Amino acid sequence: MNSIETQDLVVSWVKLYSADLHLWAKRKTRDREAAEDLVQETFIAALKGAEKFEGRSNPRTWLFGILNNKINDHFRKSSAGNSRSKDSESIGIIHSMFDESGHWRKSEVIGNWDENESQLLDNDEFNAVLEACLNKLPSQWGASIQLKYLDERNGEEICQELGISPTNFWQIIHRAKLQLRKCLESNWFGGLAK
Amino acid sequence: MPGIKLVWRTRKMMASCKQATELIEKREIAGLGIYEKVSLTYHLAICKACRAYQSQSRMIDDWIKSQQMENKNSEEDKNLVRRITDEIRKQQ
Repeated sequence: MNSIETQDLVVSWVKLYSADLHLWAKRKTRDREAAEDLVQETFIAALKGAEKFEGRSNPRTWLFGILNNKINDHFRKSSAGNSRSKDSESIGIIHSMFDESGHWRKSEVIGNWDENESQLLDNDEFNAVLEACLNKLPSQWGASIQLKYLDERNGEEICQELGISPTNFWQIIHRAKLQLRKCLESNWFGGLAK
Repeated sequence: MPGIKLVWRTRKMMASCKQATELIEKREIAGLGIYEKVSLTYHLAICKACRAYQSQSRMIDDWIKSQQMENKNSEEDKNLVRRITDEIRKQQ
């Protein structure tokens, strides 16, 4: 089954979802072009398997499922996806922020940022620092935090798309925020004050 | 003595900074249960460092959100839609 109607349906999905799928794939692979190819392959696979879809689930969730498989294949082939060292490095950073009883270590207490936050976004230098800090996150963390803000979707849908449990999701967001905050403090706010 | 019991209970409910900052993120995503709400409110009332985290966490949210808004409908995205649409039309 590959009728004109099916093509039309998939083309309508391309318009609706390709930007979000691409953002996710880009964060996970850290490779814009590879991400574009993976998104294209996802839609081709969706076209071929459209009869399996039958409107059972949300097309978006279904497409994310296909894409996640493609991303896993991509990592298996390139073997470059082994980002475990980065993960454990980041978890180490988070661990060192708190003492044994879970309280902030003195060095980690960050005072209020009293910049005018909306003005900051017009500042190219700040945007570059933010982007650099996002890129330092483990790919799963960076991708999760990006996905959190896309559209007005609820956490449950996002977890389905990412293939993780809700508990995992807010823990990832928590760790990502802790690391981002420290990175912004050292590379922007702290630097300005001193 | 009820007083001692109350103090003991409150101490038990008191979240650490690590837990409190995690609750701040959980609240956004999944919402909190009654005990979690109480323990977070109590913690934030007495912990300046976690109040700073809370406001910084919101700022980070706003920045990433607006960064995404700006990137939406970028040339890059439009080109990708065009490229994939062409590719799909080619499939028989």
